Amino acid sequence: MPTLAKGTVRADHAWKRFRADRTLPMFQDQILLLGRWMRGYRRPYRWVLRDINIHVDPGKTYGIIGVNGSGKSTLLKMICQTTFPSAGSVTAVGRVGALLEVRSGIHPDLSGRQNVYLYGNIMGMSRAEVTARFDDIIDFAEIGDAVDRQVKFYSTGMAIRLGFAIAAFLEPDILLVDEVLAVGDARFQQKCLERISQVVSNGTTLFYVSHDLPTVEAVCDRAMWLADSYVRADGPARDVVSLYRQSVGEQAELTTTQDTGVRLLKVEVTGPDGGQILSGEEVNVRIVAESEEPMFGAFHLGISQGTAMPVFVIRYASSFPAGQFELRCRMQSLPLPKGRYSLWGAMRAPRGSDVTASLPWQPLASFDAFGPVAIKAPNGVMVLTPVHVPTEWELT
Amino acid sequence: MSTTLETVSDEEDGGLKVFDVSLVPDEPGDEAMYRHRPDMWHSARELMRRWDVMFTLAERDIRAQYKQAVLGVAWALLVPLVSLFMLVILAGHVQGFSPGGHIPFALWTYTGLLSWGLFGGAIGGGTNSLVSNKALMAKSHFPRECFPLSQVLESAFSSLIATIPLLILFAVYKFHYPPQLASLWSPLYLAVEIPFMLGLTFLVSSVIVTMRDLQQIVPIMMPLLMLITVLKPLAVEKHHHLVAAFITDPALRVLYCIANPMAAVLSNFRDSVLLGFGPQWEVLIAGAIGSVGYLVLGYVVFKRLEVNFADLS
Repeated sequence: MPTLAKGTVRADHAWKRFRADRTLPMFQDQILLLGRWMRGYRRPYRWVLRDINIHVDPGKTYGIIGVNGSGKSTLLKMICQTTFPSAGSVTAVGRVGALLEVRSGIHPDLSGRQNVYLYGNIMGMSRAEVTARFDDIIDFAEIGDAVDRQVKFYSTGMAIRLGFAIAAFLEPDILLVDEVLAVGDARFQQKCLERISQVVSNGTTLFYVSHDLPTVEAVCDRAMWLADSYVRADGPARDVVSLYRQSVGEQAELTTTQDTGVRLLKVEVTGPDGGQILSGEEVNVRIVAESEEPMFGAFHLGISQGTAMPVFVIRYASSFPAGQFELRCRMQSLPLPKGRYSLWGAMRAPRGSDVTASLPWQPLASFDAFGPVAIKAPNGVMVLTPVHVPTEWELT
Repeated sequence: MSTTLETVSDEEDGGLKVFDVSLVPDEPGDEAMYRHRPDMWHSARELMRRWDVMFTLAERDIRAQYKQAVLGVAWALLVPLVSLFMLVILAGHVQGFSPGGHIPFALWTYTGLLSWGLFGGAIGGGTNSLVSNKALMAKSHFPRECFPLSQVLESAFSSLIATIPLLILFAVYKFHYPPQLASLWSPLYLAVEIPFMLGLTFLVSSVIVTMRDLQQIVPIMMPLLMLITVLKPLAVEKHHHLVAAFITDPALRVLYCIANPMAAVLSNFRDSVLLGFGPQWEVLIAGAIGSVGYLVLGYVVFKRLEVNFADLS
């Protein structure tokens, strides 16, 4: 096998399983199991990762997305080489820096300074190498004179900042980041993203696991979508993320219930003159619904991209008659770039009123918008939601 | 095995690939399953390469251990003294109990405790070394042996400090019973003790990951073993000669020393330091054989169980 460059990560048909029952049975159960084992019984396993293939070259950034329990963290642990694949192989060449969970590996009884040296040494650096980077780490973590205080007396934010700074400044060949940035405040998140893109431009390979899809799009070149131990898609981060968003939207449509007094009969979303929906053009929404009692309240509509969090919300407050009614809405200009979107809606009575009929926030319809493609933000800058803004530029 | 459904676009890295999960087999082929075949030589080399991690971990533990203690490192002096105190009280209740002959009981016992302390400390700290370092283990990939080994180092550090009370005890008895020239044999005894200590630490620390019962068993067994080993000498002095004691049957003696190499080490150490006798070879060699046996067994078991450490600890 040829020697691979530092920073290369490869997984070759990697599988991982855990015991289905993780607790070890008591002594008498063990004896029973032994008897059954002799008759050919094997304890069941649960596969948490199936047939994973990854090929990432040094300096590339790779995102892993998927719902909770889909195997993302286990995959990172295998790349970190701390857990063995049950089948196949996972190779990571070079020094691995891991930021897997908040405070992990930070010893609470030691001071910040001692923790920096401890972790540096564990990552395979000499004392002098750590010393050379020490000031940068402390600066970035913004812990100031708390550096000689025991970490258990740090605030949560300080501990996370220290953890991130240690992992990101010790110049690993491969950096693994798992969902930790979500804990920090917005300013620190942005700072971390900047640091990450700096580290990446220095040639570090990045593996980034997050539920925060905009940051995945901002940080990663490529991504993998894991669903219930299977790889569902693999490719350019934006394509994979949009595929994932679409599936989340479809899942939400399947799981919402409608048994709350208001019944939706028909939802239509159309563009100008009933045709295609176009960026910057008018959009018409027509909702036919039915209620057993008259209602007073507000009908909210929102448009989202694959999540329950809408890009924007509009609303119409009125009293609705009992029986069937039709609500029409005309948006004069659709502020969204090309893509697939979901229309969400809810009907709420004002607080304190005795009207009980309502409609929970749920997807009503999905539609494709045509028009210009969203512009990709510079690397390391995350765009919360894609918005289409007609612009005119002039350079003189 | 290709499960690709469609390739949407062609970029330099390859475009979006969507997979049909129904094409993925339920299980990998039997031939692809990972079988843990630890390569001992490779492991030993890797351990040598990351030698420093062991020291770092030991340093971390020593610092953390004494950080918030008012008496700090003084505890390393006090703990063996308290054990000594307990044994003196215990022996005071037994009529005519003076296994050390003309040597004062306190001096005789403390010499034994010192030799035991290195071993006992390593086992005591080593048992939980893997379980309690879960976070660190999940984070970085370095030889797992470093965890129990760092506890051995820590115990060595404590034992070094615990020699100070021994010197004080010699002074208390006004050097009527000075350390003998035969003390120079000590490195040999240490060489027999170390493999046993390492082997048992490896064994216990790795088995405890899957079988937590040991967390209860070890703290009960260790004091028992200590009482037997420290208070039941293998030989006593009669007319300026060492005479076999405790277990006199030669075959049983050898078996006992193989099973409990500490008995051989401790007896020899004490007889050399206090009475000036050279090694009792037949006991010591039996101890050495047992000791190396424990090391091999412990290390093999440790490397076998290594696969589970990150998942189960």
